[in-house]
Amino acid sequence: MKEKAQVKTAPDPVAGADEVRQAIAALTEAESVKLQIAADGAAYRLRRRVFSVDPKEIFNEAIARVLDGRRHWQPRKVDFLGLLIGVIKSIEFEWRKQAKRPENPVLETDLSDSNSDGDPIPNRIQQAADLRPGPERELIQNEQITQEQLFEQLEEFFSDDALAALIFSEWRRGTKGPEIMKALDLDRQQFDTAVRRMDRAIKKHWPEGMPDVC
Amino acid sequence: MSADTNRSKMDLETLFDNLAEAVEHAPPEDLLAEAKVAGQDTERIAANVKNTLLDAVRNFEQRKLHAARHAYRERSTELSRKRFALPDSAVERRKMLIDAAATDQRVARVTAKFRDLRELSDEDVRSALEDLMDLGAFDQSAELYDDGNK
Repeated sequence: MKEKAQVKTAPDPVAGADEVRQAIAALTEAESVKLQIAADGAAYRLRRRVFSVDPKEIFNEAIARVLDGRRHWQPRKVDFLGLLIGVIKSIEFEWRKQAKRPENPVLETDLSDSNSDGDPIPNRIQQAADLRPGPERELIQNEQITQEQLFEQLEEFFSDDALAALIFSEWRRGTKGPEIMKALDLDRQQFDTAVRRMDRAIKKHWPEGMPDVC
Repeated sequence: MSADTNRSKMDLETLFDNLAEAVEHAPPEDLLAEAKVAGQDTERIAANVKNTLLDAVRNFEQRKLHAARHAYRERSTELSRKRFALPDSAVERRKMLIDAAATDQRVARVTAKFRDLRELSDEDVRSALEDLMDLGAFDQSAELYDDGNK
């Protein structure tokens, strides 16, 4: 049997700065709003662990990744909105992971010390942690809660939204989204809309970021 | 479900992923409608997003430019360390530039904007030579003029 001739095709071109500019200019109002909501959400979720992350920083990083080649954008294959949503998701995932497992090892010199009065002196890691003032942050520091306690609180928030409460309860049981949709006879849009109501309720209750859990 | 008696099978990271997915999968028009219902100024939001993204492109380019400038300065510093002096006399300097333009295409391209090198002011000749030296355009030819000028 003859082997099929291998046809060499030119690789899809990767976009440069001018093409990225054109794509930005072509974003619709709805697409731009979607990007803002995605970046806001990522920044909000990162705020628990990474100091002073704001959506602008995420946008900057996303564009840098596209332009420096860490994320190749092939306009013929991927639309710009889809690309940026994917990059924002990667950034959030990576930064969450890095915050969890710092790249730099913890040195002895990084460990807590105390002054002559015996009061603890914050080490480099503590200094880098999110220590912004504010009553909510103080509450978080004073009352670190367990994950289960946090989830209990969340279930209470959703108690006046039957669908959201049900979805959250199923998540806690380990049920995945598609199974929940099937069981509750929901389409993707109805499911996502309910989840976004949860998201807004969380942000409304903890505008500075969710409490850290131990 | 009681948390004390029946621990969640979901962790916080999974909750975050679930929340993010609800935006990722959403049609932009749905999110736009929700934002409008919430009373947000979506036109302003959209304009800000575009400006932020365009600024990010500009920032990236500027960082690249700064990096290139930095590399150039490093190279210039390195060159200046081993730099030869330009000829002392204005006549010699002009001759150096004219000779280099005649024999080195790179120099000729740079000096092509000047109609006649003989009409350049002495200061312009010196400046052009310094720029070309910094760029390494005619290191070898410059060395020819280095004799006796240090």
